[in-house]
Amino acid sequence: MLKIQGLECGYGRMRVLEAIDFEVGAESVGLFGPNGAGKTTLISAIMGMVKPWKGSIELDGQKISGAETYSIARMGVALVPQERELFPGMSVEDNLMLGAAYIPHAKDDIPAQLEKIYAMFPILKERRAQFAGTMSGGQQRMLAIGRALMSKPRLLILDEPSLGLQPSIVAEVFDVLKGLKTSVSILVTEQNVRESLRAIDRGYVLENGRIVLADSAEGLKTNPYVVKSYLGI
Amino acid sequence: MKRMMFALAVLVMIAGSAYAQGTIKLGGIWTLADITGKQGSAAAQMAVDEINAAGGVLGKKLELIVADDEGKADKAAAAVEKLATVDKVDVFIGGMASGAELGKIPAFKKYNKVVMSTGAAASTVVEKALGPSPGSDFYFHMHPWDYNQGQSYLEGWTAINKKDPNIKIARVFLGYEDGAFGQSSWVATKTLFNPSMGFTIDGASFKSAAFGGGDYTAMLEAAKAFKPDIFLWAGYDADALPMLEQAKAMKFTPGIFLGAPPGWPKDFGESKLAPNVALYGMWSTAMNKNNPASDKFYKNYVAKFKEEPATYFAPLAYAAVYIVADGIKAAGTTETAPLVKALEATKYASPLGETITFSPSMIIKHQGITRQKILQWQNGEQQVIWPFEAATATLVYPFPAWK
Amino acid sequence: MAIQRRTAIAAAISIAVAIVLILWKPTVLIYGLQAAGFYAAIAIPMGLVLGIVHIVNLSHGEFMMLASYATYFACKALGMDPLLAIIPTAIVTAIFGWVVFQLTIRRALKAPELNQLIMTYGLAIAFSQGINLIFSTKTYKMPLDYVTSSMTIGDLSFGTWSFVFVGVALVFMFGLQFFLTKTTTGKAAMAVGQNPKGAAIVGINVYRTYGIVFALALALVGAMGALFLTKSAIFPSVGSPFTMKSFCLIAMAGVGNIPGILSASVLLGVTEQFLRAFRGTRDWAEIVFFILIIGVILARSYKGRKA
Ligand SMILES: Nc1ncnc2c1ncn2[C@@H]1O[C@H](COP(=O)(O)OP(=O)(O)O)[C@@H](O)[C@H]1O
Ligand SMILES: [Mg+2]
Repeated sequence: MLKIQGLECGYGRMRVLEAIDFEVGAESVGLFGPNGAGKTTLISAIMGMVKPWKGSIELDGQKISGAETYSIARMGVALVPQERELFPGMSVEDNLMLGAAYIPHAKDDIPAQLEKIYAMFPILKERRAQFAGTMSGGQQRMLAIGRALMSKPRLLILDEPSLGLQPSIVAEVFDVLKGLKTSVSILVTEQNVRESLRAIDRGYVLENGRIVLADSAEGLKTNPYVVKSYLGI
Repeated sequence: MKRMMFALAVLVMIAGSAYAQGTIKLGGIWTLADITGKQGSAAAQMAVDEINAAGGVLGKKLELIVADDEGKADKAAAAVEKLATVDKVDVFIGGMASGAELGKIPAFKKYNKVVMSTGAAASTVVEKALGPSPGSDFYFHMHPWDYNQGQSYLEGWTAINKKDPNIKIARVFLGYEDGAFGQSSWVATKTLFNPSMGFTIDGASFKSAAFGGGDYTAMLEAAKAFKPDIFLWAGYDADALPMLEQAKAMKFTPGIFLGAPPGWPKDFGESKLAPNVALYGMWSTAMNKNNPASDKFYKNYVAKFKEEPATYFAPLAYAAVYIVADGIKAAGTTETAPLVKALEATKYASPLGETITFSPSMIIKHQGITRQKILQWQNGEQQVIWPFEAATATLVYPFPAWK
Repeated sequence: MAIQRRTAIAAAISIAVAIVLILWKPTVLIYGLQAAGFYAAIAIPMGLVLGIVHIVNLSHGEFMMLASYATYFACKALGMDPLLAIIPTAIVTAIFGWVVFQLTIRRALKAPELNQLIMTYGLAIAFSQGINLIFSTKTYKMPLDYVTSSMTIGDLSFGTWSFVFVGVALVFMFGLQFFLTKTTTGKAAMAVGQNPKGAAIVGINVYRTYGIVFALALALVGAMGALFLTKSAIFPSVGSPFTMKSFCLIAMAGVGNIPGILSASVLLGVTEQFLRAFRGTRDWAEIVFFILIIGVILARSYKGRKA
């Protein structure tokens, strides 16, 4: 599905990522690392929001490095950004609708998709006419996930989906992710490693712009370094 | 090779300036982006060409060097400096806007060369800055001052009323644009058509289309309610037709519909609404009929530039060159003192329909034209109604009801 | 609920004022509404560009001026009425706007807003000076019979042509409301305006959308340019005051509030005409513009602070 080789990129003259080899197949993959490690930057590079300096990014064998964000989105990559990036002055339903409206393989299926999302997050149905900007952080996070799912993605990327959420909602979010695992590839970054290890098959650890560890979920759970640094036992 | 070219260029320049010493130089300053300056400078050049073709002045050729004041005081002052020091001109001509003219005066005084001025009506600005004789004797002001204009309007309408008492002029309404131009017109009109002389006067302002306005309805409502004999408006050319359109739509027909913009829109005369609108002016093509100087000027101008002179600034600039040339011939020199003396004796039958002489005005010693004309649009042309000596038609009165 | 009540109160007050004016000073209402329609029809396209996609376009009035010149000379050459030129001018102006957008404004979108300001101001100067060079400062006016159409009720005769602008403003307003809330492209435009990054993530071509909105606004400006010719004479600087006026109306309405532009225009138009109708207040009409703007903006910020 997604294959990254020798990626190097940054902002201005500051290099953030270096020699990144990274892959997501038909599975869920976690990307862990401390604040500032470069997780969001890696996702931005995949989405075409940060241009690679070196290396390649391929989606199903097709090169996407250098492509515009919107065309990457139209190829089936959906992002739930760390900052949610909703349309605050538009209704919940319009936000969801726009998740699919410009995606060729999703735009003809909007009513059915809406029903699916509403079934998944009943609160969104309840608030469908409300402006997105007036909802709570947790509800906005759900809306962002719903909007991403509206596009029937092949690859769903979630950047710190549990950030700022109360624990009960975090559990809910990861339950949803677990449920999705069978139909879509998932890439999720998290600082909440414990919770996310429940939902993923494999994970990478990113530190200072380099991948320092890659293993299965089981392997990471028992890795002494991970246990010490991220699971906080 | 390069060096030789340079030497050649220097030679040409020296030769050129040596040649130029055999000429009498006129420095003309106009606002060239404006139609008045564009055509004024062209008409002046035409006069220069005519005079040179007839043998020049004192055996020398006239040369006109034109500088642009961009309508701004600082650029105008710089233009005087440049013409005086770089081009070393003998006489200055030109001018239109009072603001720009004001900028030139200190430099004019510094160089003390004869100035044949074709513009600047604002007496309180320009005439005051010039000051009284003898300090301002070098300055010959051809254009009427604002108080000359006002006085001639009063004189003209009174004469028209005297000749035909059916033509009433007792109730005067002024619609004036709310900028400086309109405000000063309002002040001037109020003092001119004074109640002590039997006039009843009222007025209302409007925002000129020239500055984003163009809605005259409220002003016209006030005018209509006042029932004026003379409805006069002081605005810009952009106001002329829209105001008539709105007046027609609200069926406003005063006895006399009189406009006093600085210029009229192109093809105004062709509009169906134009006939019988009265206006003030100094020159019109209708005068070609009974004024040979006007006719000659007009024909030569159209032949040379393939367009009509659109405002009186063209014949005025043309006249300025002839007056200066005649003065130099009479004085035998371009020296200021003898030239001033010679110019004081000027009697020039101008294309503006009157013989120009110079006499003292309120402050300065050398004022040329003092009268403006009352004209009326008839058959697509501005006909002269007054002064009667120059008349080409009689006033259509009253202004006919809108059809 | 509170909002509904406030709207109801505002509507009741407006109707009461209208009835009083009809009986007392009908011309104030007639000409006030005509002026309001004219203001709003010019300001609404700017409201779209500024309020929805946040492009500060200081050459708004100059685009209209260009459209008017194009209409004038096309109509002169073809002996055509400017009303027939509305749609062709709209199309041509939209295409021209698209090209100008791609060549200039697009490059300044990511830069600080000051760059947009300077760039579009530069465009404004280039347009008006260009026209000045070609056609000089001469004014042109199309002579049209229907613009003097008139209606007489009792003693009162008034021009009716300018009511056209009320219609145009309403068409612009409802058309844009429909576009923005009911069509996908319109919703995408809203999305781009509210969050360009979010819009790109859901597959919206952000720059293309900016271009479409700009071109659409310019289509309206072009249509208005053709209509402008029926009412006004044209000259190089004829458009520039309308940029500032439109800005102020948008500020009064609140950025992004397109129907509000119409209300602000009615408030301004009727107040101006009201003041002009009385000898003692005639000269206040110009100042009221600024008083209204400052008043409305202060009131809004005060309300904002309370809420
Ligand atoms: N837009 C940006 N411009 C410049 N530097 C940035 C930008 N975004 C992130 N950075 C820097 O890049 C590094 C990686 O940040 P980020 O990718 O956000 O890390 P993470 O998501 O792992 O917390 C940090 O040092 C951060 O300061
Ligand atoms: Mg991050």
